[in-house]
Amino acid sequence: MPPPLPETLVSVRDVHRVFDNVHAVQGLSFDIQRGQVVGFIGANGAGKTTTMRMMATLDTPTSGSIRIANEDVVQQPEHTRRLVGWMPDHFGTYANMTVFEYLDFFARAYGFKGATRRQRVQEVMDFADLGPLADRMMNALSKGMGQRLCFGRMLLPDPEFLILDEPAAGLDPKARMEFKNLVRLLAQRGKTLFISSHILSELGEMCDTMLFIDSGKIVHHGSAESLRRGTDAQAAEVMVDVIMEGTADALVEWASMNPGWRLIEQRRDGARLAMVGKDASHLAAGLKKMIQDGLPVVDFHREERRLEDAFVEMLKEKQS
Amino acid sequence: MSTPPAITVKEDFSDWLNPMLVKELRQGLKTKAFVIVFVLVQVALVILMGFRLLAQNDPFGYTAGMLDGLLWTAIGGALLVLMPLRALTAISEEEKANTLHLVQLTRLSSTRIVWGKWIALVSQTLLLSVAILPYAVLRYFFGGIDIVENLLLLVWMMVGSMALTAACLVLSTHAMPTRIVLLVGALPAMSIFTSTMLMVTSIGGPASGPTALAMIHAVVMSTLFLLALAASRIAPAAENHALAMRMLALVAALMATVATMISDSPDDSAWIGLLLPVLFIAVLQALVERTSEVPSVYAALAKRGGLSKLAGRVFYPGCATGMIFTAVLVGLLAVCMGFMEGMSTLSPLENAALAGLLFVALISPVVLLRSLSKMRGWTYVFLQVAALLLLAMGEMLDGISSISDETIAAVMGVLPTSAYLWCLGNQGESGDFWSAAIVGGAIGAAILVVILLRALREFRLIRTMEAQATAPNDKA
Repeated sequence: MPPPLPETLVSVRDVHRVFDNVHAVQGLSFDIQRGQVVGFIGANGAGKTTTMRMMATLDTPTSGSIRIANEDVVQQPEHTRRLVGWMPDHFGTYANMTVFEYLDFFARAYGFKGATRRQRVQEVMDFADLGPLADRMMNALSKGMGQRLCFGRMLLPDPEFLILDEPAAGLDPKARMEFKNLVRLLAQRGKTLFISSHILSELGEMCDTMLFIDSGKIVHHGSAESLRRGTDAQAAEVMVDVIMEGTADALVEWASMNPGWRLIEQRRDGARLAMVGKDASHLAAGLKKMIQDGLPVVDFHREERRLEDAFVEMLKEKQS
Repeated sequence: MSTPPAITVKEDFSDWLNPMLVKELRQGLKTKAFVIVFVLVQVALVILMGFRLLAQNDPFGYTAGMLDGLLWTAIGGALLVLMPLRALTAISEEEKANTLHLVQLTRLSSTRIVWGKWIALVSQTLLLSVAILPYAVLRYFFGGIDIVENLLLLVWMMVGSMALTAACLVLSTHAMPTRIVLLVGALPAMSIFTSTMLMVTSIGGPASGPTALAMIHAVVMSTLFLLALAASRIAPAAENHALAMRMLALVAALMATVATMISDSPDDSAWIGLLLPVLFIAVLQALVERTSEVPSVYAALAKRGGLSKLAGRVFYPGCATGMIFTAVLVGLLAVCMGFMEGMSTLSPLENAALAGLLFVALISPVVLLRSLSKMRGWTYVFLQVAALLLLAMGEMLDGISSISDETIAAVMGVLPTSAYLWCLGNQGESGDFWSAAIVGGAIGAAILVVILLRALREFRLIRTMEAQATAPNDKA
């Protein structure tokens, strides 16, 4: 009977990773609690994959420590590997190998034998809906099918902590939905998940908490809601989507001239604006002012603050 | 999720087989490369057999001889070239496809991964050899064929193929440019090695004697060492692979020394001679690697007490321990050389001087490697090649100029490697020998002092790592 897992399953402390002259990870520190689904968000090249690879024992920190279930991942890689499931952003295929042979090989490599092995492969195939693909050659799978297979492979040893690097990248909407369902099922089973992406909306609804990384440093740690709320100044704002008759140039100019209004995103026929004030009277006053100033508004509605916007604004603030 | 009916599994491989072997066999037997080589060899052999049958009427047997030559060329090409070359991408393809990491995260150690791949490739070569066997036996009925000699040749080819496959596996852990350079550099050596084997076996006599034993010993130990080397190159930082590699090198040298001591054959130099390439790689590997800063690397030996820690001074990874390993190895070589038939003319003092020179020759390039973060191996080889060039220049001057032999010998002593090789080539010429030995020894001793002072810092690091490895785990 293995010892119970600690409440703080993952503890990352002041981790640095330097490649030649590139300081890819710069003093990361964070904890992950058991059973949490944690999003890891950052632009391409922010240091997400490097961090995840170090957590999965595939790379070594230049300094600092990563502990999983109280054991250092560098000192005790075998211990870590028993607990961790790793799904890379890009997984290669084996030539001349079927889906079943692939899973069977990994089940053997994880030490499953005989009937137990067959049963485990069957369970994983059922869970990831791979049954109909069992005899399909691996290199004939679509991106979505490949991701499901990779997901299945990761689940073979029934790991407690799953690290998924950009799992939904390149998936079509249907495959993305299927993937979200799989994540939801695993979260229900009490697994701890660490999922990276550079698409925030993808993670917002799945994660309990999110880590935002930029240039190798954590810039925000909290829930999607806390990011969406942003700073006090941002919390006092409301997002408005405005559609114009014709181009949006006049609207953009109007927003720049009126205090309390701020341009978030310009489109061909409209723009998204941030307005100081939260209640309906402020909104009504804003719309009235636009019409009084002669703007041909055809649609004006309140919007939730998007995570992407909140993240970009936060980065701008940090940089300034 | 839909629940499809349970899959009916065809159990093609047993549970006790290495999973990597199972995977490689499943894939390998379906690959085009294997099928093409297999079919081509079969077609070539069928055609050759046909012609051989027709050549029965040739009264002088010239055509039959030529066809037999062609037959062995085809078999040799398949077993010694095409099949081993398949290993060239065995690891690199996995790395490129991002699948090696996935395998490493399972319970498969790097050693089992490498062994699985090697056994799978060798099994396919074996399959090819078995398919060739009927043709070799068929020729017996044409007459004029020594079937035992032919079968022996096939076995030697198979053994050579195993070693070459291991060498190609090591190459497959390197990046493409390095692989090409090593392959081009290693090809002549491989050719010399295989042709020597073929010559010895086809002549007949010597292969059945101690030389054949020496060759088997060299091939087996070299293969084991190369597989350990390949495993070390894909292993995680927390594992100590220096232990396996250095142990294999020392065991091989020790067995060769013992065999030389008890042998009365004039060819006893083959025991150590055939091992030299692998021993050089072992020394190179030991002297260019960095001392690990991961305590778990030290745990296995450090936790077993004093004697085991002492062994760690030879078997922990790093240049400092690599020097002690080199010293032990050179000591074994000196003993071995003392018992060789051709070397027994040397006085004990000359033998000791040669051993000392060999040690400083091997470690002297290390003095320039400290500041390098990359290309340490290549720099080491380059410096040794520079010493060889100096030696070649000295040999040329010796032949054509009026400068005294002692002066040339002293100039050769500037680099310990050229000094050692000069002394080795000038045994019995006391003046030349000692001029080079004294200059080379003095310079080598100075370099040794510098390297030892640096090594002290590494040994301090080793002690710290041992202490961390044996300390109770701090559960944060």
